[in-house]
Amino acid sequence: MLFPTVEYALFFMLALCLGWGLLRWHRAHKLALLGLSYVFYGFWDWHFVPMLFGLSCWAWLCTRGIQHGRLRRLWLILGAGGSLALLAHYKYTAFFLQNLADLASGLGFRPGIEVESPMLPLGISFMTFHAISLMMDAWRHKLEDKVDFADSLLYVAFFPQLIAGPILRASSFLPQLRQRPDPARIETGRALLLIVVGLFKKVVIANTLATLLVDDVFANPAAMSASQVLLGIYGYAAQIYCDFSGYTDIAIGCALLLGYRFPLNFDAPYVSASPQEFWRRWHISLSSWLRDYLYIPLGGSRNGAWRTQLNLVITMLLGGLWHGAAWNFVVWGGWHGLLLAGHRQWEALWQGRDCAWRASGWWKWTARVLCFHAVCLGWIFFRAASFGEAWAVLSRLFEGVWSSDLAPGVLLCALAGIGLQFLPDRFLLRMQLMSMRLQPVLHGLAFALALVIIEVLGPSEPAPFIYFQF
Amino acid sequence: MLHRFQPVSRMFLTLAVALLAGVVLEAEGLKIWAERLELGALRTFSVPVTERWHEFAQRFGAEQPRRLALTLKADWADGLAPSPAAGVAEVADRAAPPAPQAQTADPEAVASSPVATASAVQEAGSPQPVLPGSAPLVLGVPASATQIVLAGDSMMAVGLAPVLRRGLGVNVVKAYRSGTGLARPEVFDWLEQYPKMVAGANPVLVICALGANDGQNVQSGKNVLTFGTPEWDAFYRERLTAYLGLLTRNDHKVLWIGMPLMRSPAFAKKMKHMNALVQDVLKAYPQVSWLDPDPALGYDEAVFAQYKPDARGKMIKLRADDGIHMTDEGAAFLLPGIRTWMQHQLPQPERTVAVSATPGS
Repeated sequence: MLFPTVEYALFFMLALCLGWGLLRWHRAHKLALLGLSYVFYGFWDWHFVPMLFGLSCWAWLCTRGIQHGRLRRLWLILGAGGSLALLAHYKYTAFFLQNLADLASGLGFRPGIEVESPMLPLGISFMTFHAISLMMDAWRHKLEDKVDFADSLLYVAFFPQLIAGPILRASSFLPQLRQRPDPARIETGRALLLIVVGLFKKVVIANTLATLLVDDVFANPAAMSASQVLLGIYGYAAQIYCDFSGYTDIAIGCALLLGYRFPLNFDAPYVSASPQEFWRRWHISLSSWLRDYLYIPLGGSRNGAWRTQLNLVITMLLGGLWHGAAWNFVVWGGWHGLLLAGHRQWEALWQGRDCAWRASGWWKWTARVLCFHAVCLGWIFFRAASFGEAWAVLSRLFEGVWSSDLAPGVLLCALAGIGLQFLPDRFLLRMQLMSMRLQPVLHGLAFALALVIIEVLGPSEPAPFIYFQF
Repeated sequence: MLHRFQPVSRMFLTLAVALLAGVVLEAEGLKIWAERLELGALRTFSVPVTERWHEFAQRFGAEQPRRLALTLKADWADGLAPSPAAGVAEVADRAAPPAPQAQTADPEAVASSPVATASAVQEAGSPQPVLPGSAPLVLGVPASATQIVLAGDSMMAVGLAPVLRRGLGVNVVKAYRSGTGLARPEVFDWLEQYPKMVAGANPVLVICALGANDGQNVQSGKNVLTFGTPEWDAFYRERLTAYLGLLTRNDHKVLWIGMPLMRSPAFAKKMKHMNALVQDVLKAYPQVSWLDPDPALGYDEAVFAQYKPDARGKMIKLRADDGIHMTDEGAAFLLPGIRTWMQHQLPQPERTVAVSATPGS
């Protein structure tokens, strides 16, 4: 069930009515949300609902084991290991076997390995990370009370974040589940604005760019001019941002209407002037997860410059692999690891020196442009199906003809997808304030009208959310 | 006075107004949505409800704002959409002269037979996929002046189309749409949409892969036709015949790529039925050739395999993780057969140079 569909609208209205209707009976309220979350997941393929339930039960069991106090480390190893094994089975088995077979054939052996990847359950990476977060937060004593069975199930499966995040921390979400949502404190204005903005980003900008520009450029770059290829790369940068941040905007908005708060997941990432800043603004819930549960346990920045840079590269390599079981994702992760390590070295170079130019406006914009293009270079590997395809796109930039035959519609969408991030924060705040001034009838009419406009403006061909595959 | 937080009653009032206004403004959109649902309880309930609501809403012109917006969008899109040269560069030369059909090569060519099998169309025993651009077509007219249509559903859009667009080096008209088929015209009516998709183009050949979404029951009037029954087959034959009439008009030569073996046994069985039905209909069309992808993908014993080792033992991923679509690498295995077929359909240079389909040739 995709967010921008009538089916989801009907489902969500039912969830709102049930959720708020059962609020007096808190446990029933949570069980209703849990049941609806399984229905939501089952809409895609009900065969995987038992797997979701099993993973949640496993996470709860191990968390309780950790909280019990005895054999804590063993429970953590078992819990995290079991969750990662499930992820590895579905996502990485074929990748591992394929590379094993390739390695063996390279050494002159014919191992006769049968390679087949199982059907990948939707959102398995996100639910695994939730399960691990539950156990890790218990391990770090961040969970004050014993974890309730139903709460841990709902934490892993809560439908607005189930498929593509944002990744919630158990330590911040479980306390919300312990209290009844306050029926007098709903951020309706912000929630509806987020839903409209998210739908606009996804349906109008991302889908238009995908169907009219990006898919064509990456399908056959040789048939494109260099300027079209460049626009295709910028277009993909705008598409993936609008696609993913649009999804999380809708998820945050829906959760707000149900009385729950999700963390911010995107904060205008393309305004970043450094790779470090980019990862503080892009997929914040993942980058902070990787920082807390991978980079810091690896040693973080505690063991000298060289080791810090190695930890950064390892973290980003694994972050790349998390996105997909393919070498192009590893290269994408490695590229970002190198950028982070290189930027750290650059910062160290200027530390303690008097360099006023680094605070100047022109340098800030130069750094922004450089950072954006470094990110775009990474996106080529992220989007391409193979290294050959990525190379074909890159080489076309240098070999192709530069022309001005760019379609104004897609140019406008790409500009909007990137340029809107440079709007000052007060712009969205002002829109939010405007919506708060509206009476419910006018507010409802404005919301409906916005949805109709989005439906009309979007291309007729639907496109699934990019991050569903992760 | 501004309130960041509102009571739940106010939220429900806002949403109720939005729902009401949305249902009024989107009366037509909801009717279309209901018609496109899969056959089942939800559709059975929704179709009459939304139809009646649409009729009612029409009386007081509730659908007018949406229609007006759609018209404005169409006008706006005409000005802003990619020009033929910009959006799909392969279609740039829409005015390219068609290759003279009378010059079609070898009359004994396999492709001229009503139903050609892949092993016949394809060079036998070719174990390697052809790398894009490794063996360009040798034609009597420049490849850039040759225009072909790629038609079908996601079986064409995923894997095949990118490989063909890269590998054939000819102008391509995109006439494929994911999630469509011939069985459900209310979802996407190919008979209506295909002429629009190729309007203004002047293709000489058509390559089609369609049918993966058609293994489902359909509604014909008030009756539900169950997939695989004689009634369903008759319904589908009629649709397919009409579609083939569009593909083959102006004496266009067509290559119909069958459905490959699927991972799910139940789905594989359905697609086997589809393949048999399509092949039977194609017998009446001498200008349409059939390409069975299974031999090219190495499914000689009707055993599905997602990966296959190549001659050097390197594992090649032939099929996507869904067990349905072909990957680019998998689709590349079909390229030699398709090239051979094209070679036979298009005018040749006076001294025809044999084209080998293996890399490095």
